[in-house]
Amino acid sequence: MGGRFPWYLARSAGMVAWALLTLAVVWGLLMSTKIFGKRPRPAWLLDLHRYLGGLATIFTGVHVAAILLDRYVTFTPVDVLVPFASAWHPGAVAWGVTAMYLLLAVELTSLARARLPRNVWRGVHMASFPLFAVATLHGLTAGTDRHVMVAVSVAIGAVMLVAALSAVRLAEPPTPSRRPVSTGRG
Amino acid sequence: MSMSVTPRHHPAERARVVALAGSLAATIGLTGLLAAHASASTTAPSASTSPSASTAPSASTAQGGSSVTPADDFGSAVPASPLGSGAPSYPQTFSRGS
Repeated sequence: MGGRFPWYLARSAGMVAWALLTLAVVWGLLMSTKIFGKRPRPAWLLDLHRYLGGLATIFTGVHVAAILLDRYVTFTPVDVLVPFASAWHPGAVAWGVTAMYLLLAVELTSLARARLPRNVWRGVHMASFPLFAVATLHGLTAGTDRHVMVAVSVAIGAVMLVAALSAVRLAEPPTPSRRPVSTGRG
Repeated sequence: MSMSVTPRHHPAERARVVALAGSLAATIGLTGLLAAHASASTTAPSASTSPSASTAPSASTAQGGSSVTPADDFGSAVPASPLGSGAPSYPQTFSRGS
């Protein structure tokens, strides 16, 4: 593996981060619909949703850190922080930079949810949908393994699942209380 | 992530352990798989004959697998390993907009 270890780590961490993000989005959609039933849900279901989002953020950090350490394709901090600054596939990398900022916004506002007005938190949390779309686009355009049939199939399946659950969520009438029974932060 | 204290063997604790262990295992496994695949491709007879190993990566050339770039070294030919053989055979820098 030698000197190219950061390159392989960046790719694998990117794939795992995307998978965790997908799971977090799917889990959140499942909780916000009546698919789990109408009765109040245990708090650990919401806890798992948060945990998946947190893990996605951590593995995104590993992905970015490995990219910076890598000398296979040289990236600078500016390349990973500023959209279109990268010389390597600037458009594809820009999707990833955008996704990173959206993920940070969703995560940070969720951590501070108890201190934020509900409408503010909810509005920012809706960014999870463009976040998923942008992250998927990043993977399909910048991902080294985007031509691998398994990777493309998984991505298509995930998009279809999220789209279907979103449609179910939109079709359901709003209910006064969608929040699960929770003893901690909302 | 919630910082609430959760008793061991609670569903939340189990779910967290499974998610964390699964993510770490997937990352380690994928890293090894990618490295092994690239290593195996390196020894392919056609790998060292790639005519465009020094070209900058681009979406158009990556598709066909004839260009050796960081963007397509999974599932396509990769030049001889740079390890211990002098200068790397993959491009180190790329021109803007490539």
